[in-house]
Amino acid sequence: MGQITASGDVLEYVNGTDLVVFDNVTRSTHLLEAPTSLVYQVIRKEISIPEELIGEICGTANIEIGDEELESVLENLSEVNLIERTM
Amino acid sequence: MKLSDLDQSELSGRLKRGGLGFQAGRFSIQLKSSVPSIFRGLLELYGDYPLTTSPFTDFHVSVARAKGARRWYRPQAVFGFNGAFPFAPLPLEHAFPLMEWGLNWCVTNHCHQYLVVHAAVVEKSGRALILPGLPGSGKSTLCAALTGTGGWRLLSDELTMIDPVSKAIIPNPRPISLKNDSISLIQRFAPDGIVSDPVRDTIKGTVAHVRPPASSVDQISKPAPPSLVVFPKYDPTATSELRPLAKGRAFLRLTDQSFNYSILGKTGFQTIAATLDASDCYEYFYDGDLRHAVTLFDSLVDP
Repeated sequence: MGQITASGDVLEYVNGTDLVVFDNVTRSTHLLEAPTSLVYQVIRKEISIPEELIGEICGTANIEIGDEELESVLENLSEVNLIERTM
Repeated sequence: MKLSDLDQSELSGRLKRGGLGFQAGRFSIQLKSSVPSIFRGLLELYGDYPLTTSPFTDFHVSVARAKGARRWYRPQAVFGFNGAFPFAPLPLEHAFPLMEWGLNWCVTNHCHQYLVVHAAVVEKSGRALILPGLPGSGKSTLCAALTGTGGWRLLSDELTMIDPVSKAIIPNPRPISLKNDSISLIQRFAPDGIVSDPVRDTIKGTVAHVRPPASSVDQISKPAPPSLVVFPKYDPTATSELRPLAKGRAFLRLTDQSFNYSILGKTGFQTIAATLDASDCYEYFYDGDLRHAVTLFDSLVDP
């Protein structure tokens, strides 16, 4: 099952690693597939991903964020994973 | 009372007076026409549709001979909607396809209570199969094969209407429009079906219409839950193959095929998401082997 989340004028539909984003202002719809969708979701702290995928994501993600922001995301990954492992 | 219950003189009289009210799929129509091919087309293809008695009508439409000097040497037909004429006239012999295209236009331009997707849709065992596709993808041909021999119920060959509230497919069965080579293909594949005489040299080439199964017309009021979304692609050089399609990609392709997604906005987004959540998604490359197609789709609903 997919999941719809809403934030202001943006709707997101997540199904597996696919993320569909709807911008109600421009009435435009965008598809993000892995790995871009994973990075996007991690930035929003919505999912966690295995550490072994970090390198792959960094190498292939095509997303416009600054290096500092990306490093911040990656730093948070360990914490997120740690929480998951203890559950 | 069905349209076929009228004797021909009564049918002709009502048509000419503008008093033929019937349920053309989901919507009630009040039709006026004195064009002979409209009369013949109704007799041939709409006999199972119920007449309406309610004073309320969804669409008041007409198909008339165009006025002007051309009526003497190249007569034309014009489609009217609520007294307006949204299209340029077409040759008189194209009158019946013009009416069908006009009725589709009525739905796509006025029925925003539904998400309307350019797709055929059929149902079997309580599972609706949506076949979105560009013209030429083969969706109507598959639709005619499935409903003609496979025991599938026709919901629509052209316009899939999804209710944003219930998320169910709303039936709108009308004659199935076939083009060019698909006409003879279906006549050979489903010889018991009733296919209208081909109309040549239209803007879509040669077209003909298939009479919907009576059982589909009888179930006009019975919605069906979405279950399968399959994007067909006819390629005579291909090997028939069904490939799983990621739902994200299916999502974008459905938005591309929707007539009113951008009008519905968030509601359209949520409706597509719900449709995909309830459905398995595929691409279907097929070489025109309709027997293979029917067997394949049967196996998807009755594994």
